[in-house]
Amino acid sequence: MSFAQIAGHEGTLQVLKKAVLTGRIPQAYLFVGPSNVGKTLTAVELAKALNCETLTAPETVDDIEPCDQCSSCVRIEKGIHPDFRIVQPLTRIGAIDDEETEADPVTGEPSKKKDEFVQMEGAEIRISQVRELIESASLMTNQARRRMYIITGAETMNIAAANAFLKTLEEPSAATTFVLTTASPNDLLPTIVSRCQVVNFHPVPAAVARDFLVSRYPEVSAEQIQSIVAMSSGRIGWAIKLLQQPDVLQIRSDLLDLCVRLAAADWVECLRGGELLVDAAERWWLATNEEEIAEKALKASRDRVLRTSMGDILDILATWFRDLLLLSSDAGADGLINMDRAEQLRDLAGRYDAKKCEAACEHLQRMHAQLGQNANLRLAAENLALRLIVT
Amino acid sequence: MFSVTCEQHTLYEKVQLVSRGVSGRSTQPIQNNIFLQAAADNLILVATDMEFIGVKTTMAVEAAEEGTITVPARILTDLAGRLPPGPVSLAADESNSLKITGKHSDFDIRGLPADDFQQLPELDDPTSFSMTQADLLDILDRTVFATSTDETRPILTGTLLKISGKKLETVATDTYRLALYESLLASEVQRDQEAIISRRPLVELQRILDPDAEEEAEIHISQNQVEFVVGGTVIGSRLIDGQFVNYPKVIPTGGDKKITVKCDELASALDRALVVARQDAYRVVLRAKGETLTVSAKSQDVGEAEETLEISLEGDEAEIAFNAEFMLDMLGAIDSEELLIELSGPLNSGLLRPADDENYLYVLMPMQIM
Repeated sequence: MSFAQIAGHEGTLQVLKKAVLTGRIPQAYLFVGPSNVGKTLTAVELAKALNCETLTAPETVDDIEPCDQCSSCVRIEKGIHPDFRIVQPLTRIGAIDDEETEADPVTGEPSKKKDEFVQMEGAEIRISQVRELIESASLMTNQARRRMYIITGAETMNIAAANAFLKTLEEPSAATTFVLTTASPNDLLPTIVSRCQVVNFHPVPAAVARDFLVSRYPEVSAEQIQSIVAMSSGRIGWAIKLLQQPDVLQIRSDLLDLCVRLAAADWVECLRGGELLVDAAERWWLATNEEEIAEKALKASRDRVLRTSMGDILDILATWFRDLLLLSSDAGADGLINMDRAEQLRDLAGRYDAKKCEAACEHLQRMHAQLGQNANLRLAAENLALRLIVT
Repeated sequence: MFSVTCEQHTLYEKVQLVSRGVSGRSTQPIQNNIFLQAAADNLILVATDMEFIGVKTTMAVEAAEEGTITVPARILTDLAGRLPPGPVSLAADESNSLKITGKHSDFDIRGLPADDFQQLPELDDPTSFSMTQADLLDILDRTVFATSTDETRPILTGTLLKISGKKLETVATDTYRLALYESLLASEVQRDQEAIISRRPLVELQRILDPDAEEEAEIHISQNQVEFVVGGTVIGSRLIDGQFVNYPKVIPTGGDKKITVKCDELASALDRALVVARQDAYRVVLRAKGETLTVSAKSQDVGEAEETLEISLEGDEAEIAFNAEFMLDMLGAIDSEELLIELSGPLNSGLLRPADDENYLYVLMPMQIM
């Protein structure tokens, strides 16, 4: 990676590069922008540029580009640099191993069961993570010109953790920069925000995202990329995740097939549809997360995991009814999200009028809300499927 | 690539030793591994969390082939300890798995390539000196216990080593008590140096120092790192960044009431009083009058305790409350016969020192007398 390979964010990158050039790096940045637009990615590149062994005497802003070859760049990229660390919000999914606790060979004490954490809905930055961070930041740097800690989802720090962090954030030891990233800056303590230099990240414009993805994934059809870009609403990272996982594309296609079937389905078909939705949520989770962790999390807290990924499933369904709404209102096919399915959509448009489409979108939204209210997932999914048929 | 033969018990001992460098909570899986390098007739073992501690040691082996590999510390320790005594051979292959062969055992442990392993960093232009292992152990035993465990104030979790000329001052404090030990080095250092060293490497060092060993311990301190070399083993750590507390200011002067008491008698009195005092924030009240010192403790739930000791007192009667645990910590660290307690008033901190050793002092904040 390098700055040049980050899609969009030109103005933002200029600001950051300028800071590198002049050497005026604040002790803390707050990167604000929607999730998956490239905030963390940019922070990693910034860390590399600040420590790159070959980038020692830049003359212009355009020179600010990490080499990606030197050991500093490579170690940061791999996440094994001693002066670089990413802290992410995590959810405890319980002690996974069923093995009996045995004495630790080193200390002789009974070893604690190792807690396993994953990133999912409701995850937070825990006070123990912040304490470790404070301790680590109190040490002198090892080999870096500038040590960097990236804290993603900074708004998930609870109040105790945030307060514990304030002092270190305000006055870290020399040559240390924190980069906090957040999608909802209003959920951060004002005392945190006021200690950071805020840098805004905007959704990547569709045209930029499309060109970027087309050149990067030549094997995927332009139409499919078009619909993925439209679906991503500027969250380029999300689009990339979809493209990197063929399973994900398959799930989307299965879901859209379901939508087509639902148009003329009977009740039995609908109940099957509900099952398919839950099943899709599970496949989605497995496809979009690291295999080993995903399976463990699924085993440990299946319901919670499915609720997390069901949100994405509903978003995909919503694009379908949005497209139908667009067609039924004679707005033309230019703005379609599911461009690759334009024909099917046109066929169905006659059977869905604007009212029905709106109703469908409302049902989807209601289900979104129900996910957070402990509704039985399977029942809610079946109910949804029943309501989506044209009756 | 990589093939050695060694003795089971040496292997276990060394693996146990370096596995102390693994923190277990490292975000980087490879740093939970032990790095093994076969070179000439040596096996080099390294483990480090890249921050607080790194341990490196060497053992003599028969090296058939030079090479490197890393394997999970936990697994290797578990296995090395359970193998029967006798020769063990270790061999790595291209797929980064380590074959461990004992008398009747045959294991294949999955490892990671050594390229990504973070080695102990080289020290840049360090200040170096050495002393006997016994002296170093003594210094650490008398100071490190007084460090704070509150990680929100990282400076206090460290111990300060301040070297100027031939003088070495070692200081630790958690703001309730302070331990200061002054010692003289055999020769002047090239350059004066201060270093705040976190607790973990020092505790490990205390564990491996051998007071009877003839070989000296070497200490190397650079701008950002410290390294202790003890008999073929290196323990390194990054220094804590920041300004240490202004400790000379808190050392009380002018304590006009001087109590001299037998260390062992005081220790056992405190130990008994603790049974009660534990319920009351470890508070014990000391009252010195004439030739007796009473140590009393009171707790709403448990009851009362009073111990009487013979002392010699210089100056007026004195009364003060201290944390008994903190006093016992200090008494446990010295081996003198008599303790000198200098007090000025019940609200001023007290100064404790061995009667026969000018170089060690311990400052204790008083507690409210209830």
